[in-house]
Amino acid sequence: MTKSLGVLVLIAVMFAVVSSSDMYAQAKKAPKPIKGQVVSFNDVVFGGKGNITKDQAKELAEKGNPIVFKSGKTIYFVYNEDGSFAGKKLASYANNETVGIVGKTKKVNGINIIIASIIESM
Amino acid sequence: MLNKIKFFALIGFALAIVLNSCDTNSTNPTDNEKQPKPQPISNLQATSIDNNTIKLMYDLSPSETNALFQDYQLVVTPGTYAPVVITKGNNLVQLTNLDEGTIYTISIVARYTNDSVSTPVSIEWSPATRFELNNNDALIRVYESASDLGSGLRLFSPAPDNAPRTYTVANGANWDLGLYTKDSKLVFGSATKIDYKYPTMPAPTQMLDEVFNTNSLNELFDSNAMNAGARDSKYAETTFDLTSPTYTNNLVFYVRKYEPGNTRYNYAKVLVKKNPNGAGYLQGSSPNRYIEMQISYQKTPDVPFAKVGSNNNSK
Repeated sequence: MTKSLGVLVLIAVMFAVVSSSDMYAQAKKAPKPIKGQVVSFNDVVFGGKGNITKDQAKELAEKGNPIVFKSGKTIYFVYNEDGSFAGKKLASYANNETVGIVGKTKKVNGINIIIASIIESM
Repeated sequence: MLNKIKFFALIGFALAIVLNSCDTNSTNPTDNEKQPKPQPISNLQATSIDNNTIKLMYDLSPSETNALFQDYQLVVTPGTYAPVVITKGNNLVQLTNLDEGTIYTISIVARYTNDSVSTPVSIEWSPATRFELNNNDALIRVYESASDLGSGLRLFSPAPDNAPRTYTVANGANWDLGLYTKDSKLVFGSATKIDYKYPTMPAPTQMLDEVFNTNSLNELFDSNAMNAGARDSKYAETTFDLTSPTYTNNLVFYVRKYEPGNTRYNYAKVLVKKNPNGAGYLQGSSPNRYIEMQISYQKTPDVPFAKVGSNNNSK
């Protein structure tokens, strides 16, 4: 009786492990890039479209102005996986019509954030 | 009788002058032949480091063991480059301040302390631009077929990019090379030979049928032009299976294409990096795995790094 109970517990534990592995796999599965453009946050705030060239974006980023990512009507602040702000990195992509970012999205105090694992022109 | 004596005396005098002058003229060549002369270097090869630097490698002169051996002297033409003295035992030389697209003749002689020099050994070469980053100042990557990111590469995208650039299938017209990973394949090659449904077909890009296993582009020395001799007929639009077990190191492919509007080839060497964290060439996580590349690109058409000599070999 004790033996069969033990076997049942073991099966239950194995099932739980396999189920959680599946869930984990699903959570990581198929990260699709978010598509959008690199824009100047200041320009967007003051009613512009935010369009900038790579050189302009790099200059703005050097001066501390935020370079952000616009996908549809949503503005994202992009961060590197190490937690640093990715504005300077993003500036290098400003010449591309479409940029794809693979990463995790978050909303912090109403601000949209992407923690980017890959940034690539498309 | 007196006339005869005078005649023979005159002949004798003339002969004496001729013989004397012959002696004088033959003294130098005889001396030169007696001078020991160093043997030349051999197997002179070159590689392009960047758009103004090339590196040379050669086998040292066997005469280095001779007590008379002094050094090597290298001469670069055209231009106003001072001769370079290379110390004994040194078989690697880097030349800078060169211009991309100019085909330089580089000659090296071995020298003895008695002023005699070896037969010169020469090579013709031109530096080429090295790209380790793409138009976004990021590493040059193309992604697996399942990824929404680009699987195609343009070797050199003109201004404002002025660098290699990755494109998706939607921009397939811009592809030179591509990556295909469907059905567990790992195929890399001419975009025209890869099975994607391009909205507009890309232009032809040819690859040499030979793959070079090497650590880096800096170590891929060659004594021949990229199109030298039989090589020229071995370029074709083609693909390579990167799962081949014979590929164990970083790989270099020789590539050429007509840039838009041109009818002469631009040449490039494309290095595909081996995965530093495992086997094979794919890196990263599915479905955004990628291969990473470096590119040596000659911006001037019809300059296959080394120049083909009249004998179809690099000089």
